[in-house]
Amino acid sequence: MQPKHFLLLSFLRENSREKLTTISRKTRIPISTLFDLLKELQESIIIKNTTLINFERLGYHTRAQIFLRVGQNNKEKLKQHLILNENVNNLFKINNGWDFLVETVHQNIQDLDKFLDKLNNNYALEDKQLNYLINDIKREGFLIK
Amino acid sequence: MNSTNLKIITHLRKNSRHSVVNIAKNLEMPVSTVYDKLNRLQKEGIIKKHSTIVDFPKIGYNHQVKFVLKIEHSQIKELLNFLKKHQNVNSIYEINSEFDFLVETVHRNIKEYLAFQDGLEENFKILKLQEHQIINEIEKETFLELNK
Repeated sequence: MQPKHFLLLSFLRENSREKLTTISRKTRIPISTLFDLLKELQESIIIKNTTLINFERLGYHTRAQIFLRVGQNNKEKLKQHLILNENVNNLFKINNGWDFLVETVHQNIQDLDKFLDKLNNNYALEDKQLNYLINDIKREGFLIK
Repeated sequence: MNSTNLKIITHLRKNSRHSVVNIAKNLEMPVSTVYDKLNRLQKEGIIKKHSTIVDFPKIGYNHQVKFVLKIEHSQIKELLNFLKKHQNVNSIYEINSEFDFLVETVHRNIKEYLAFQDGLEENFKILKLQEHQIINEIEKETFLELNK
């Protein structure tokens, strides 16, 4: 990774729809170089370019960050269920007493309850810690200058 | 939310660098309609930002941490100013549980994280802290993604 890679990533982290012509003007890096840099980044480092949404404005009023602990036998099954589940927005494997941290999005608290009931009933959760998400204060801010 | 707006959102969730022309073609809609709707979604704050999700370990940042913390109420504003400005902080969420905030940080190594943690504990009265290293990012921003 060269400084130019980091510079381009910084612009894309700030606004992934920014045109290369605009970035070229701001950074004085030729467009052809930016094009090559972007291709390199997309092949290895960029997971995806996406749009962050205010889900509440779309009618999804309940969001949660849930720590989950599950027995060894159910770990992979639970992971596959969460990957396929349409309410799951983010999923991390973590350490220090928990197996997964999952962020979910629901229309209301009843939907979240159903989601949790399913986990309890089908995957024999050993423990869970539910945190209702009230407000995003900072999102994807790392590497932004 | 009408279905056209939702379709535009699911396309952008899948790939925010898709051009308006490309999205219009996929949705079989006039380019001008997609352009107007996209602008409106941004102006109304439904779209918060377009961003690039990065594999941090591949650029040398091997220590990602998620922690939840509870802090002395009088220090909340000061803590948030500190975290919002801190270059290693990727995300901050206000949560409603026995903790006040869930924070995600990104560091080159554990030593760098420990220095960050020291700074936090020196400057603020943390009442409760629970830390977890991210072993693997399995899913990122997939809710309402096209074809999920």
